[in-house]
Amino acid sequence: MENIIELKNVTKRFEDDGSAAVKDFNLSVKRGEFVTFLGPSGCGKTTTLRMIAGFDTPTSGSILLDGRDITALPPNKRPINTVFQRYALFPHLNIYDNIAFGLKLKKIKEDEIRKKVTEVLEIVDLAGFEKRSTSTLSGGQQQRVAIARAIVNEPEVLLLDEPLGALDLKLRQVMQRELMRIKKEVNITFIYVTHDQGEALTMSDRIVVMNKGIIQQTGDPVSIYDEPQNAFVADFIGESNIIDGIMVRDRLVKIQGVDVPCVDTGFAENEAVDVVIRPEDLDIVEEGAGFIDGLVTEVIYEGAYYDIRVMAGDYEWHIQSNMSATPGKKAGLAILPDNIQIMHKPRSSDEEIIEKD
Amino acid sequence: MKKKLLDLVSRFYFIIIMFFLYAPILVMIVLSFNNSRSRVVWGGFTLQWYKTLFSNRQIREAFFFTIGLALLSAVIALLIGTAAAFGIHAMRRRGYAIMMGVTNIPLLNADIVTGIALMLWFIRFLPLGSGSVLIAHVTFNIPYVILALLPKIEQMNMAIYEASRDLGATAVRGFFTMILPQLTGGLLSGFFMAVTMSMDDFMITYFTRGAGVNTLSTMIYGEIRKGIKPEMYALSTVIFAAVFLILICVNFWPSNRKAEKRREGII
Repeated sequence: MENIIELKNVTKRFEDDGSAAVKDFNLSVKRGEFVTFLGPSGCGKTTTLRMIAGFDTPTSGSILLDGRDITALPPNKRPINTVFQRYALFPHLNIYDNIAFGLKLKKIKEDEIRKKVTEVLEIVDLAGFEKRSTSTLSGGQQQRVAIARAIVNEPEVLLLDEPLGALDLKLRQVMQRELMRIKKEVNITFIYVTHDQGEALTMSDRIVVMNKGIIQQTGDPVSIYDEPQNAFVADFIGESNIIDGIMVRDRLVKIQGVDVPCVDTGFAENEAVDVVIRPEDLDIVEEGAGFIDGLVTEVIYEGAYYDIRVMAGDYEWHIQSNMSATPGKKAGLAILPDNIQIMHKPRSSDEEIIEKD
Repeated sequence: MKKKLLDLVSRFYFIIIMFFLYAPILVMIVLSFNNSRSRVVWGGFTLQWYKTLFSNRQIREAFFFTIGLALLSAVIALLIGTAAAFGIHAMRRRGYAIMMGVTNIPLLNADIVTGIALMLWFIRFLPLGSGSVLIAHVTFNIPYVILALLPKIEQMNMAIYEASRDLGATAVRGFFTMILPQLTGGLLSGFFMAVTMSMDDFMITYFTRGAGVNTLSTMIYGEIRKGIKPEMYALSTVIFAAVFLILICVNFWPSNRKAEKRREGII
């Protein structure tokens, strides 16, 4: 598969104070891929998307579409369309005219426009809504119109800027599945921006985790979740116990003074490391049966599991288990070597963490 | 009992206010139809003062000059003020505060100070005449346009402009189809405010006009110095009616209402 979008050393600095919103961003997106920019607000994900759309121009670096440099091209000249955060439907136009807006500008014949609009309304499950006014639609329906308005132009790339952010949880989950179906149907490259890790894990072929304008990790959902490359990614994607450790030698790590077998290799002997353990990978066992003992401080029933806190030494472990425990009692924690993830300590502040392959 | 008294007092207060505000204007309007030169005796209804008013060439000229001046100065102020409002909107906090201060000065400044200052300036650079009056009116009209427009620009929905660009509209087309319609209300109220202010002005016009150039207000002033004639009541009534009409237009203009509703729909 060839690359459709390439970002090369893209940096965006704010005009007012010169601080960088995006720093030295490098990424290739393959044709037909579903790529998600994931990160907390202010991490530069939306700025990056706006640069691809053409609303912002990079301070330095270049953006390529199909190998052609489009860095200086205005948004109306790019075969790229956007689904905006708050939909941005045209309030003075009805659904039909909203969707036909781009086609009319392209001087396409009226009967062909009509055909395309009808088709796309069917794709987004809004057949027969042509004459309705945008203000009569629910949030989810407005979202579908926004998607239809973008994909009817058959763009090379569809950009989606937190499109589900304004919807409630239930509708968000429905729309996630809808988006994946639409993606399959129209076969357009999707670049999706969200701060919701669940959304990113569900839909994406590839996730780009960003923080403070820097790519922290790029990979498919499984590798991002199972093998976070630094503490930021581990903390941001799902919940984690992140604790200091010392890599005694290959496949052996010392956590809270206890040697625990693991599967990681390639670290220096006695290197200080970050140890990441997902709460669902820890098991509550009898006192003394695990690698460490602690005092159960809190047990909350969450339906599918118990959310348990265990104080061991000066660290409060977070456990999600289908076994309950008794608060105030001692208990042991057990873990399979496979489920321990060892990470290098960041060299300096988290701002300096860069992608490691 | 106490409530009744309070009611009475507030009603009395209201009547007093209305009386002092509007009774003089009402008296003037009535006198403009009075078939007698007396200011106290009612001599029956007549339109003769209006007739003599409009048969007076000087007054007719002043009337058309006033209207023309108001419209032209409002249009020019609208163009400059709109550009200024967009510029100020794009400024950062510091520049914004400074520019708003600068904008407010002509509004708060005593008219006589503005008038004399402009006069001094004009004497140095160009002959006083209708041109200098026009420039003066544009000058004091610009702040009204900015003040009417800036809040509308601030609450404007920029996303739909970006959406139109994204779907293939050029910057110019996006501006005219997405941004301008959102500003119609502000533009109209700025324009009418400017027209009203221009028609209303006496002081600045008085200082910046040349010989032989007269708006209605400077005309009335000149006439009244020679003695108060009932034609002047008629003339003042005409000005009052014109300004009143414009005010009604500003408040009840249909597209003003529609724009309001549309914005609410967006937000």
